[in-house]
Amino acid sequence: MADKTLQKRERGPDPAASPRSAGQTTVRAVLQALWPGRHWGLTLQLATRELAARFRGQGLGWAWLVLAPLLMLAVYTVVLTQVLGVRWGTAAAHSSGTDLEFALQLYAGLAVFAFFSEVVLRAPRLITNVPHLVKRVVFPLEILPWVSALAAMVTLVLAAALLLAGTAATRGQLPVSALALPLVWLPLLPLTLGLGWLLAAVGTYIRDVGEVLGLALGALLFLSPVFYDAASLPPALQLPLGLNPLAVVMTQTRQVVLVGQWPAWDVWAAVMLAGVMAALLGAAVFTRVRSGFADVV
Amino acid sequence: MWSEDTAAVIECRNLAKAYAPTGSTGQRFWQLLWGQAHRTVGRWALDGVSFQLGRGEVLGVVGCNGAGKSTLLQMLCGTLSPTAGDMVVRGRVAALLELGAGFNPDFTGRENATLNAALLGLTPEEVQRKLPDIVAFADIGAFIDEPVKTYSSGMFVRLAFAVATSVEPEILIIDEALSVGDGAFARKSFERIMDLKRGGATILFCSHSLYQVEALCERALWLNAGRMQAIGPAADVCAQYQAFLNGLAGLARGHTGAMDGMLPADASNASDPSGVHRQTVCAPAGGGRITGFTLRCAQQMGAEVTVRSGLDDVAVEISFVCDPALPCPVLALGISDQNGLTVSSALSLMDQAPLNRRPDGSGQATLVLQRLPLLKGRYSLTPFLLSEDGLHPYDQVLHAGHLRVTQDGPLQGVVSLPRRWL
Repeated sequence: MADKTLQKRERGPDPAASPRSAGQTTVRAVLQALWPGRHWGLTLQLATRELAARFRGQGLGWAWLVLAPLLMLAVYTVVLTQVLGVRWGTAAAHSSGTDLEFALQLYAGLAVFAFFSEVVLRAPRLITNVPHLVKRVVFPLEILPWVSALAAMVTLVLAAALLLAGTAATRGQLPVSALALPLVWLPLLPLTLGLGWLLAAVGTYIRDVGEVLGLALGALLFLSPVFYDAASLPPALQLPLGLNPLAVVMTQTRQVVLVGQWPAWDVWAAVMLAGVMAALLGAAVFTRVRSGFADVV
Repeated sequence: MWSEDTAAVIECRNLAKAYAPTGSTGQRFWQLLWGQAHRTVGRWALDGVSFQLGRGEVLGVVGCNGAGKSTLLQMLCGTLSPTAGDMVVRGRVAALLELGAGFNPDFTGRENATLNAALLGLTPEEVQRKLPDIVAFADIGAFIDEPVKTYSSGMFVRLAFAVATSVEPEILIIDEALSVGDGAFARKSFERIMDLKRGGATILFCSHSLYQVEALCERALWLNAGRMQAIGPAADVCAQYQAFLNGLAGLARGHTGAMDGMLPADASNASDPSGVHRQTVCAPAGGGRITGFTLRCAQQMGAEVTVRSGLDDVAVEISFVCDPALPCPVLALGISDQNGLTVSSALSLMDQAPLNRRPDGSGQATLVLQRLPLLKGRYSLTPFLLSEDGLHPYDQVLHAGHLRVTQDGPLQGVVSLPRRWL
């Protein structure tokens, strides 16, 4: 007789196509969860639909993709520089510290944070929002964080375009190091995906995660160098900031686009490694607990 | 341990499912994460279910609400994982459970169809190839390019059904409704399921309609409180289940399970309170309606007559209209007592009494119950109009008429059997 918890399913002509075992997590299953593989078509379709759903039925539609970040940036810049009188960094940096310069520095951080929070904030409800996909069809649920990440990536690419265009407009030229921007942002992908899997898995069972996460992200906005230059912090605070992968990505973004320095590759590699570890951990937890989703959704 | 050479498409062995007690989902998370066995087992929704189903077989699943029917179907679809036991499903599964649950109201019918077909496992090329068929089958005209939120519920379910059955399943899992939509589409959807059946699809079909289970399935499975109460030839299992229901009906007066059980209640287009005369100018396309129901007994005529048991003849006049393009329909009459127990029924198809239908689709038939053998009491009559094969219901009028039976003498029971003393 077979093990009491063994479940065998055979789909399609190939009997060994994808036997799914409940309560059994193999390395292969985790690796399969990491990459959409044959589900790429479905993933892209869902991501397109998610973006389209957001703008469907609105007067300005897709224009919001550009308008929203610009308006947000304008509000932050005006409030911070005019109302609170904040100046960027140690005033030593590039140009005098005009509002436009401040806006660019701010945007370099804000774009990174916006991508991160857009994916992570929705993760705890990723599974509970689609009960029909959990209960009614056999669906590769592990692609859902990819769907959020791809949809948010469209915003991120637009942010990059705005940042580069803004820099070129104020400075009259772009540094060559700006070419490294995609590489600098690359660790964000495994990091957010990993958190996406982890939070989706935990959030499905423990609904409080969503609440806590909102607070945590609010705090993270200020714990990351979005509104200030990391270099302007006292040395005692530099180390904890260095442990925040977002802080490293933001600082390197400013380096490659606004300062014209190539990133420190050892630091970049460390962040990338952290991101990959997060992805592996998230996918492992997700694969392990997914068999119970249908019972709790 | 699995015999690979057998023809079985579905094999279950000691299948069981326990739902975690509510409120402890957090605990469940940690147990799954650390791989501990379930210490806290809540309700066993299903326990010790074993059966095999071969290619092309049709299995009816019957049972009261909460008996575990839906749990079983969901496990076979692969959306719920069994707590214990083994299960093998060979072939592409399509499930008609909660049609259109994944539709996004802001998207057009075409967009939803494309995405839903992809969710059901079709490749993009297959979706593009099948889309014209889906659109043609749903037959909702220009609405296909309008947002789904503007659809009527009928249009919604048409599209959902068209998508769900477009995947050419080898195994079809149906919860409750064998046909969806109204009128012509109800028949069309029913025909599609029958086509799949003829094409060799294995069907698991769960229904409260014992009539349909008996008419469609060779075998039936009766689940009671999560356990297999009986499995075997559909007629035997349905009879046992009906007896069980009658027992319940006897316990709880006013329970109305039995008559409702004869045909799905949602098949009735309306249950008119008066039920005597319903005005329909012309036959509904692709369907039919009962337009009149009159009882005659001695000098009385109407929706309720008083009958002397064993003496009077009762004439039941039923008029109907039916789309002239369809084959001539058949009529049925159900007789139930005050507890809802179906005492008897008649089907014109079984009695080989073809109906006469005029070219405009209207027709009338009279059923005579000679020397009514029912004993004293009040009985309800429900007429049904069905497709020519007696499987697909077009219309029914619940409790359209009543018989008040009087009798001389103290005989007990519901029926007076033909008898002799020797």
